[in-house]
Amino acid sequence: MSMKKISKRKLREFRFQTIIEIIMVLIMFFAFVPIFVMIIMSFKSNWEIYNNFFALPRHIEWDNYINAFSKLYGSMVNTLSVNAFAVVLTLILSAMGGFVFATMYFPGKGFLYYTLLILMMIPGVLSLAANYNLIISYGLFNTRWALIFPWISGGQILGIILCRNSIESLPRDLFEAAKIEGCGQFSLLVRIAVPLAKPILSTVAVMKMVDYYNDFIWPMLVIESNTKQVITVTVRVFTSAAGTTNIGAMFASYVIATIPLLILFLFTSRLYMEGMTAGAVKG
Amino acid sequence: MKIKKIWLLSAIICLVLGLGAIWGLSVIKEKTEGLEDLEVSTGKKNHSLAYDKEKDILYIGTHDKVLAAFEKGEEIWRTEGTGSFDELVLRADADRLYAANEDGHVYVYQASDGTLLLDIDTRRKAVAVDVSEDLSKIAVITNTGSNKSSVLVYSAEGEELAGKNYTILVSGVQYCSDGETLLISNKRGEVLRITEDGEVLDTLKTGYEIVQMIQNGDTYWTINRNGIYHQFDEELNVYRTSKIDNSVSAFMVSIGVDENGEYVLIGTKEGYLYVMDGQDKQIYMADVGVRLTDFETANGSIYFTGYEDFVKNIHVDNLATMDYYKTMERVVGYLAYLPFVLLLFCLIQTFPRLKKAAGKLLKKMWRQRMAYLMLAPTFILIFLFNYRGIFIAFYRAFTDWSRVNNTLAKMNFIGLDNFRRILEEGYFFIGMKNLGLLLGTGILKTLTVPLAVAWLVHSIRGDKRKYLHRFLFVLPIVVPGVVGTLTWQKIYDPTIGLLNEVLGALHLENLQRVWLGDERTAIWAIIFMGFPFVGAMAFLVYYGGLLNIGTDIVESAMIDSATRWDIFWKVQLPLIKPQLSIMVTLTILGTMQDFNGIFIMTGGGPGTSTYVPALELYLNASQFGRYGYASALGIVLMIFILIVTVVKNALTKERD
Repeated sequence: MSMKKISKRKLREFRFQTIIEIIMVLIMFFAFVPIFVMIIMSFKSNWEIYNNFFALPRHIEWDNYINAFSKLYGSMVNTLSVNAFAVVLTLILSAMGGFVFATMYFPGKGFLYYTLLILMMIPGVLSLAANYNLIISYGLFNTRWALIFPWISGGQILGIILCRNSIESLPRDLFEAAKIEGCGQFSLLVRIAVPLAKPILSTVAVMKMVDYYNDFIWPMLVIESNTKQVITVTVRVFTSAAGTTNIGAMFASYVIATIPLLILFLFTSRLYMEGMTAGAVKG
Repeated sequence: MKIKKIWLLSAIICLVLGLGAIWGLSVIKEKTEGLEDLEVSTGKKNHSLAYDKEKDILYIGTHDKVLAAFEKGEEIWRTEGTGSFDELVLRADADRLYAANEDGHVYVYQASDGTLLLDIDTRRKAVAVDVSEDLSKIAVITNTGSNKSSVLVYSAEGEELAGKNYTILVSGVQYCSDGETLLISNKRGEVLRITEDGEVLDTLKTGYEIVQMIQNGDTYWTINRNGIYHQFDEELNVYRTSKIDNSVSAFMVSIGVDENGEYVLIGTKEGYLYVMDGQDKQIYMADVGVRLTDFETANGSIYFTGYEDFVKNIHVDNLATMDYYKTMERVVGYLAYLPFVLLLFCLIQTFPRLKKAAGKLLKKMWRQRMAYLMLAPTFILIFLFNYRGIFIAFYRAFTDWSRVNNTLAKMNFIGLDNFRRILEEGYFFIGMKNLGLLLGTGILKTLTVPLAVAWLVHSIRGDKRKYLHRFLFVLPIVVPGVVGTLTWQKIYDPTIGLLNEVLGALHLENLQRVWLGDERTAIWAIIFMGFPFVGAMAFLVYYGGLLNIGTDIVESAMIDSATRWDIFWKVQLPLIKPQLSIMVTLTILGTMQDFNGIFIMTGGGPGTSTYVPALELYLNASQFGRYGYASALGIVLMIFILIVTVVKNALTKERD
């Protein structure tokens, strides 16, 4: 191969890389437009938004954030604590269920596993009215349990499936040896299965955190008190309360509602992406 | 042989016991019901009530102009005004019924046959009326606009004797026993004792807007909008006051008390009914679902009605024991299972072979008890929060289950009526048209941009650059769905929206629209939301697929001087077909169930232009309280999802 040919190929490659970079930057720019809008507007005053729409904020309005945060503080704390609690419960249920289905043999195993799998194929809207009334009849309406129970109940299913697959791929001798040493089922779970299934458990954790955080319709349906409401519902206060009173604060509230997921993503981006695709790959 | 017979006999006993328990349960259930529907129907939205205890005649004034009388549940007469009948006052001894109507009249009827005796033209909306004890004078409250009221006094012949105007809404009027002074309640939260000329003799401040004032025996009751209630006499001495626990910020509109003035019933605009006992303790709450407008004390019970064709009867005596029966219901409910478990056991014992097999199975299960124990929480949860709902949805889709018919006793089996209604009401077809559009564009979106982006990122040289680009393309996913939708809603805003501003800056003012407020553009605005449609999940799935193929094939093909274009179409695309197929399935499932975006953006509007079936389902389940109908819609949606996925799978299989 002559030098000329190689350099020609290099040139072509360079041209190609430049072209795709331009295309990607363009797409990326458009994809980020709503985020730019959100952030820039959140620092502007109403006057600037009406009179100087495209300009960057001349004077940064921190008041917007103070205003928004004072309104959202309660539901943010509430959301994060309920969310964390539900995620922990989901993980416990997923690990336990996954372990049982992966390592134990008992009458009815196949049937029970199928009852889980079938649930993944039944659309949630089918039983929306029924579940709403069940929550009322259980006396859970307008309590935090009205969020937690349905969340973990539905959330554990994919968790169990993923944990089962992960634990099943571990060598069986590991469990057999521990059993011979006198390990009970429960300590097998806690001492061997959970530590080894940590990667998949963290994926499930991040995935469920995002899922629960994004839930909107269900909390709106079963929670009435503002003090117990989650942020995806309360973030609409600025929108519903008389339209244009404080646009900057409204956008600031959007930014505030985004921050927890942004932090989660920055720290766990690999898990975050894994969690997103886990449903597609296994489902 | 003999033992066998004993087992069989005990099986039969168990069966009888079990059936007995179920029967007992239904008896107890009736006692816990508390509310009972009266068999009267005006065919209209009701508003006000009056009741003749002696003759058992119930008078119902409706929102839709009709006034009807029912004797022991049979309609005896019916007449019409031209507006809503806001208050009825009955003087049974004199056979008179006074009715305040929003059409600006107070009508006086002969209570026994509905003959109109007197028609007083009050010129403005008459909202409340009362008569002095000797029937010589009639006091009327009229409203104009949101802050003007008048208190008018008429003679028994309809002659105006006095009148006084107020610049605040007056909500109720009651004659005092002297037949000279009046009590009026207003929006400022005051009860005023006034002379007929309007001179204020005494004032009681309750602190918040009074929405209704009623009389019960010698005392009067008011309810404030925020849930405070007062009992006082005509000297305005307060006997009793308390506030209901109103954690849901309900909007009170009406109050009723039982004969002894012990139980207090409060109705809200949202349809909640609260009952307080003599110690002001809240003992009962029910969600009736429609604005409750009037209570009427009857014999041992209280009738009430609201903005719907119903009159309900609440047995206050039952309320005191209701808690007791409710616990009993629960206990009996669980105990009822016991005979059936025993029945099964006895039957197994009757047949030796069954007994053997069952014993073996039980032994096996006992050995693995740890497995069941560890799975118990999971399956208890999915039974209570997933399967129960699904089963209920399936069988109640064939009933007229609604917020009003909310107990098994009241639900009626109506066959396929709900499904017929889905087709007849028409929203479903509008929804399906939009859904079709959303599905088509949704599939197109998943198959194009994410694939292109995945290919672009995959073609990048250098791992660091690759990682950075992947990271940045996924990053927008951190914006919560609701926030993303709200932001897009603002982008479409007609006055401060980015889209119109950009068009304005480009001097394309003629293209500016009220994007979400125009029936022609609203659905397209929703489809366009999320531009440029870099679906993070699809992108990652495709990218993973491309990675799996590896660069070897691509590079060796390049050496064979194949173009990237050819490689993409002939090598890469066929190999990531499974990923494409999964994403299409997920898009179908997601699009058919999702209505968050539409709910936030337009709520289905303008008109019905952005309706989708899932949104209709939600609205029926939440706002309209038509649960049976919503469940039927759920079944239809499920069937559609099944059909679409099956068709899609068949199509992709054929191509392979």
